[in-house]
Amino acid sequence: MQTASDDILKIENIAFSYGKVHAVRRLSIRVPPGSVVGLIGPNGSGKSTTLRLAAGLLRPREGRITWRGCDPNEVSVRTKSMLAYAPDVPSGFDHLTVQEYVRFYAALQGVGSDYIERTERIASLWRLDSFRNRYLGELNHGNRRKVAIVTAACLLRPMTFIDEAVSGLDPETVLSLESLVHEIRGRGCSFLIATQDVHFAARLCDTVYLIVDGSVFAEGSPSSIESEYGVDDLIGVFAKAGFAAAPEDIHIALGSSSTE
Amino acid sequence: MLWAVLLQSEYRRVKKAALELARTNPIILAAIVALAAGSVAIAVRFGEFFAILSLIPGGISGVTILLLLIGLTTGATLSVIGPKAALFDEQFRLVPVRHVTMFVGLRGLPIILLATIFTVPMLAMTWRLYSLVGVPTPIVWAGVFGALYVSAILQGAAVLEAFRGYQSWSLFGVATVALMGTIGVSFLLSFGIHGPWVWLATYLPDGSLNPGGFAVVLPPQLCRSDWRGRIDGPLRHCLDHL
Repeated sequence: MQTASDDILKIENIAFSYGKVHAVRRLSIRVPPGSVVGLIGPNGSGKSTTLRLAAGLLRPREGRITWRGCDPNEVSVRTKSMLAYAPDVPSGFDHLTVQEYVRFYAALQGVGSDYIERTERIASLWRLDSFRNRYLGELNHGNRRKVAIVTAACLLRPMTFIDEAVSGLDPETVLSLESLVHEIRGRGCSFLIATQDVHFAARLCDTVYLIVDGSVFAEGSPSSIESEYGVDDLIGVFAKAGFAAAPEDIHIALGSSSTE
Repeated sequence: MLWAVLLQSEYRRVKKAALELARTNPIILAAIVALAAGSVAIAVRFGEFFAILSLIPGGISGVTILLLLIGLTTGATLSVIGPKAALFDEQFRLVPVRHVTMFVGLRGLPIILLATIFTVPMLAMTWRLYSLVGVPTPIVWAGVFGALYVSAILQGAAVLEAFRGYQSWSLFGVATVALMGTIGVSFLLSFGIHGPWVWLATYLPDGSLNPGGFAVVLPPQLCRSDWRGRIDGPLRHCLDHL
């Protein structure tokens, strides 16, 4: 029986603002070991900010974040060596080839040839072979994200963050990403994933947090939330909770003209 | 390995930018090259000025102050143009190495070039100074000037970082200790056998030490006739008017 004290990541009542804009308000999240936790919400709901806070890249204005009992802001280099992060918009090092980037990232992380071989095998499965000698800056968004996710996930770190997990990925890679996360989770690693794809989250996540305006309005397993709201899928939860525009509102907003 | 890859990446970036500029606007590229060459030439003249300054009483102090000012300005400039954490995505801000490794590598070549251009005055000064008086290199003072310059650069960068809200107290602490330490060593050396005027005085025909241990040297005494023959350009012009 797992208790809250076993959580690999615990976020308690955190708040964060960008100037006067409140990005996160009294938000609490638990990530048990070997679990996949999803943050689902519309654009600007605070998912990415929550991920950055959880990783110690931002410091909360209120509340507390503990990562295996430690404050991620207080223990820098050692804590970082147990985390991995795949960003929504990978940037930097545009003049390294994919192959050089993998080796460079391995050197930065202090991991050996096992990691490089593992990453190259997964990259091959994700059809990145033909891009091995291309500069990162020449890749399209989808392939750039594939490189970021593969290099982060293959570290097999106790905690991996993936921001906007399926953004820019083709359906084939999305399925492959699910398999990859399942496999790594089976080895005891945890994931905190931000996504807008409710179906992807429902298939993959053990627990999801539905976020709007920086606050959680529903949490639990996807099936339990669907049962609670009496809907067939998680997108119905947003509609039923009043966070999606109703068809009649769209009709009124568009006006009566058929063409311009 | 990290530095090699980072510098390789930076070299490709600079090369690509230069080729693009040469293709689209060669005049700007030529202007940049001319500006860099001009900066080096000005820096060399600055070195000559330092050499002249070091010949007059109290001049070493003036050189020290100028080196401090140039170092602080250089540090602040490098801090402004240097990359910041915001340039890295979250994946790289979480790598378990200190960011300075990547900062310097990511914009390595331009920073190294700029720092080199700013360093020329100091090198030119020491070279001019030693060739002028025809004495062996005073290693201690050359080292003190070098350390002073480097620590002033660090201090300039640390102060600007603090002003910009990127407080790095470790950088600030190291820079402050380095700068204060160097100034302290410089101060103490002036009382010892390595005082700036002491080492010069031993080679001068009429040089002498004052009761406080400082050599009192007047510029005309410094320039023996056989040395004057080896001096030309602005130095000669200046010395002729002393």
